[in-house]
Amino acid sequence: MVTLRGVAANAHAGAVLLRGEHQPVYIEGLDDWGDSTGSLLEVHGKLVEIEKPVPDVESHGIRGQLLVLRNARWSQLPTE
Amino acid sequence: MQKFLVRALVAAVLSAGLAAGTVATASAAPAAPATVASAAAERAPLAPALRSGQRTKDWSVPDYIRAWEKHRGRTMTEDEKRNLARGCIGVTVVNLDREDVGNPPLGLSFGSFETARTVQAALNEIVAKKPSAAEFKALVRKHPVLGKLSNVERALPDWIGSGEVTAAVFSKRFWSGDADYSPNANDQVNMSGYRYVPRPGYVNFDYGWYDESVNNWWHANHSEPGMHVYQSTLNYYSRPLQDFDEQVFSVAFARKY
Repeated sequence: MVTLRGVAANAHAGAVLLRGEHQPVYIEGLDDWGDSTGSLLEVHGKLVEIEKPVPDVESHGIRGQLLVLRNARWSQLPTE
Repeated sequence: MQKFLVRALVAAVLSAGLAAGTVATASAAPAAPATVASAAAERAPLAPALRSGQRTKDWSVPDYIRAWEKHRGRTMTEDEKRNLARGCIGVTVVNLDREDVGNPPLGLSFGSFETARTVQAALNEIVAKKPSAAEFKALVRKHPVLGKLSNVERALPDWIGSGEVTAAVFSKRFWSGDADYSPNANDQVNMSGYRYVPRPGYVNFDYGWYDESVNNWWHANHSEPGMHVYQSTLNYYSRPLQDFDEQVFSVAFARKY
């Protein structure tokens, strides 16, 4: 289990946590952050790497390795 | 504010000179220019329009295929089903129904929906006359809107008669990779350098097929397996997402049905 801090943002494949220049972390099971979009969050969960193969470069999807947080729980942090 | 809305404002100014007789607006669902109705628009819609206040509807692929087949009055071929399985790009490809292109042509891409609709209407006025290839080029050259644009003369497929096609609109959202996709003075975007490269860690693109009969956009979550088709408003389809920093509205000829 890990605890990550970052900014709540929305991507085509679902809600993500942005951590500066690091790879985005997808929050499993969450499509959109809704009113929390843009908030600074502390998120706790199990971090896993998932390989997302796409049949060819001109098909629709994510290619390569994704970071996904499972069983995520979060709390909002005060704005810095 | 979504980039396309900003561009719509710019396009409204440009259109004053570019599209004589057309009223361009900055709304997300602008009034269509006076257009030659496509054959598709005269049929019952593939699906009812979204209810007022509904932003999107999730369709399973089998349900979408059933609705598509009922709308078109024919079955979807195995080749079309393989194309559809590519995700959003497949939705646009099967609706273009072109044998000569693997991917949706991007030669006529614009910064705003309003400009794309103006170009669509102009092209449909021309193909309604069923011109030969040479006549099509001549009509394009002397047209006040089309004559100022690039790639129009080569847009007409050469494997099918001009009377068998209709100009259609689709949109593409994508990651620029810091390349410049700014519209030129005619609101046209040069997509010749685009190579389908995604922002790392994100979805590579999202195509939206414009269904003018209900003013909705058809797109998808991703390719198979696990593909879903979405019917959305323009605002929902164009909502801010980390994956994309550019959006164009493109015009291409589709086979009439």
